[in-house]
Amino acid sequence: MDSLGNQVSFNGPLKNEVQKFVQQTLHKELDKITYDHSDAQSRSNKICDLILKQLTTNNKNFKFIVNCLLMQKAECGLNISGSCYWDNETDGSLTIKHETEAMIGIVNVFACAL
Amino acid sequence: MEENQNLEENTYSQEEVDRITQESIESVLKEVQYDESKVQGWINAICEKVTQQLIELGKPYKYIVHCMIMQRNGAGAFVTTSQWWDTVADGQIIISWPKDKQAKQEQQKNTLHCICSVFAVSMI
Repeated sequence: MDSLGNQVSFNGPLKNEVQKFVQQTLHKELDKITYDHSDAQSRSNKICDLILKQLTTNNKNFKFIVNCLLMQKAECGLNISGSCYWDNETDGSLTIKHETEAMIGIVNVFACAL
Repeated sequence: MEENQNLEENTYSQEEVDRITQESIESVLKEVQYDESKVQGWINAICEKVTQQLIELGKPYKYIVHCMIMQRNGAGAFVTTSQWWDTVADGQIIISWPKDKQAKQEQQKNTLHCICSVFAVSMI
C-alpha cells in the first residue's frame, strides 16, 4: 500500500527494476566461472539471497519467492513451466535466463501482494 | 472447538499437497521416455492438474506451481529457492521425481527427471 492507500502492483515499473537487478546479479555471479558441482549449491543460494535481500529492502508490501536453477551446459533437453493461482492485477512473476560458456542460470521471481 | 475448526480450514495441509503433487506427476510421467515433442504437453498437464486440485481444497491461499523436466544425460544441476513470507502460514513442497529407490526397484532406465515445487501463500 502506498501513502494514498492504493495497492501497488508488481506488474509496473517495479517489474523492470527487478529485471535489471536480477540480470546484473546473474552477470556478476556467473560470468567467467566454470560449473563446479561442489560449489554450485552455495552459488545458487548466494544468488537467491542477494536477489531476495534487494527485493525486500525496497518493497515491504509483497511476499516474494525466488527460485534459481543452475545447470551445467550439456546436450540435454530442459523444459520449465509455472502455473499460478493469484490476483492478476497485483501479483506477478519474472523469469530471467542467463547463459555462459559453461552453464545456464535461470531465475524465477514470484511476487504476491499483501 | 470453533477456533480449532477455523484454524484447520485456514491452514493448508503439507501431506495433502505432497500427495496431490506426487500423484499428478506419477499419472503423467509413469513409464514414459524423454520425448522432445511431448514434454511441453506433459509439463503443462502436471501444472494444470496440481493447480486444479489445490484450488479444490478451498483454502484461503494463493498457489504457485513450478515444474521442471530435464533429460537425464549426466549434466549436473542445482535448484534453490528463497522466500520472504509468513513462515507460520505459508509453505512449500518440492518433489523430485523419480526418487532413486523407485528407479532401482522398477529397473527402468529413466531418461528424465522432474522437479516440481508448489508454493502456498496465505491470503489472510
